[in-house]
Amino acid sequence: MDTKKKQQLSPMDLPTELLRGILLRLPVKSLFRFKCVSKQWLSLLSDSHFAKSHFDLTNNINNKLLYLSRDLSGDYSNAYRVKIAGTSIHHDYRVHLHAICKHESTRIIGSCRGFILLKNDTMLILWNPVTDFYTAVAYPDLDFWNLDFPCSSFFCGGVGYEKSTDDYLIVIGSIKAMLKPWWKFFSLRTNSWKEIEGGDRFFPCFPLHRQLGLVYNEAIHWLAIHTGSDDEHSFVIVAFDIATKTLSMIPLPYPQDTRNCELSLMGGGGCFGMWIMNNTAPEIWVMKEYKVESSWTKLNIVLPLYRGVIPLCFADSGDEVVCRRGNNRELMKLSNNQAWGRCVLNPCDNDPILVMFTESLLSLPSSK
Amino acid sequence: MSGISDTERMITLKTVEGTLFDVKSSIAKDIKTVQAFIDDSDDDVTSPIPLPNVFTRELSRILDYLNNHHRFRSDIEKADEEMARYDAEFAKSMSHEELKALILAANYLNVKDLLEFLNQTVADVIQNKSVEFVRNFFGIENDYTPEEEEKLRNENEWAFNGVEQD
Repeated sequence: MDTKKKQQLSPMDLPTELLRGILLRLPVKSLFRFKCVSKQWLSLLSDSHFAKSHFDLTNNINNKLLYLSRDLSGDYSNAYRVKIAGTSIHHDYRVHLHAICKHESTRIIGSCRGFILLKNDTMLILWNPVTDFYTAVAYPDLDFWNLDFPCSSFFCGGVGYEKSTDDYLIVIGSIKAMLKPWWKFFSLRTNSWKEIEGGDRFFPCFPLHRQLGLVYNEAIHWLAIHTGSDDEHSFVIVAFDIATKTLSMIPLPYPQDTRNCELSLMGGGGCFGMWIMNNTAPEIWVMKEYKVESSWTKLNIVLPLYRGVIPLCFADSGDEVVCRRGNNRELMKLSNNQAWGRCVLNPCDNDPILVMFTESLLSLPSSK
Repeated sequence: MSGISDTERMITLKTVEGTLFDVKSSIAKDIKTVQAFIDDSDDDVTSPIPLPNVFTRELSRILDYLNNHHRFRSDIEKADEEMARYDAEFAKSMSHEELKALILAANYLNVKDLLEFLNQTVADVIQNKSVEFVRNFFGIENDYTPEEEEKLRNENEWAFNGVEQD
């Protein structure tokens, strides 16, 4: 039976199932090109099961960054992907921003499973840059937003994925009438916003490029000022647990003066950590065991002794760090005193927002 | 064979052409189709096991791969480095047609590790290649009209940058 079937095919045709096994191992860029091979390939590559299997097989390869670039009119028009491979950092490809994202006020605020969370003055957009699939979400309580929005120093956001319900959660935190902070999350499945309890204790207070919601260990993280029971203020990491939908806090390696804004969270390379500016150079810390305060460890990576080299994320299981320098428009990779691969960013802001990005073919679940 | 303490039972495999291969039972364990045949047999398998879909060239390659990998695994210190070198040579030694024939054989014999390795090998070969190269590689006929293809190419323009020469 099998031999017969084989003879019917031309000499060495691989059955679809075997073909699928090969295609699952290709990067997204190749897959998009190969949609042009034949109609059968187009339908195979457009299948949502294929997209899921492909993501599950490739999502551990976390070596890409994405940023938005402006055109001559000042509007954001392109997204560039930067690949960190071995000793080189280079632009990988450019995609056009979806029309809905093209706005002067558009900013990246999160990244999850190939989706970028963008905010602008009127809405939040969850967008897959490679498939161009997107969904727009209205802010909660739009009336009051008009008062002090967009005040990006008092705003933070992020997106995470809940596996058990196949749902994406968008979280935002801001300050109500300059008084009390509040935090809310939006579920794509239920299509509604909910207030997160206890959010009034965490004050988001960083410029937006330091406030990307960092996804690690099934939670989204930001830096915030915490108000204790005795009204004492301290810097903490606030974590939104995706399963329980609650906020908790993680202490920093050592206490920071709340007037100091020179610190930021770092992810990538399978690590969770942060940098803190100390005198003239940033120190890099990794939390080896998640939520275990005593496991904060200072990395041995020595950054050049001048201001302007700012760590961005980890690479290669935390042995290396990707930094930005020179007006924040140049990227480089550093390990023990060694610097590799420089990459000059395309026209963008003085302080561009770069986000870690795992490309995927995924689309979004719709609400019931 | 008697007298050696670690004597292993041998199993004989027979290809389409009738060539016989003697295989250690520890190696046969990695060939799931063969192992299933052995498990299903009530008695000890003494006569050659026929493999109606597998040609001599492919079986010889598969056994070479498995034997070498078994050998590497027994020497933990050098295993990774030597295995990587061997795998690279192994992949390089085959033409595209041979590669595809080996995928079919590895799939039929259900040798999981090898199949995954071969899938990755093909993926590495075609990753940066043109659409035409891929059609040629897999023997696929273009069933788009020129207009349809042009439209798809324009929609996915970004994916066509940096394609290698065929």
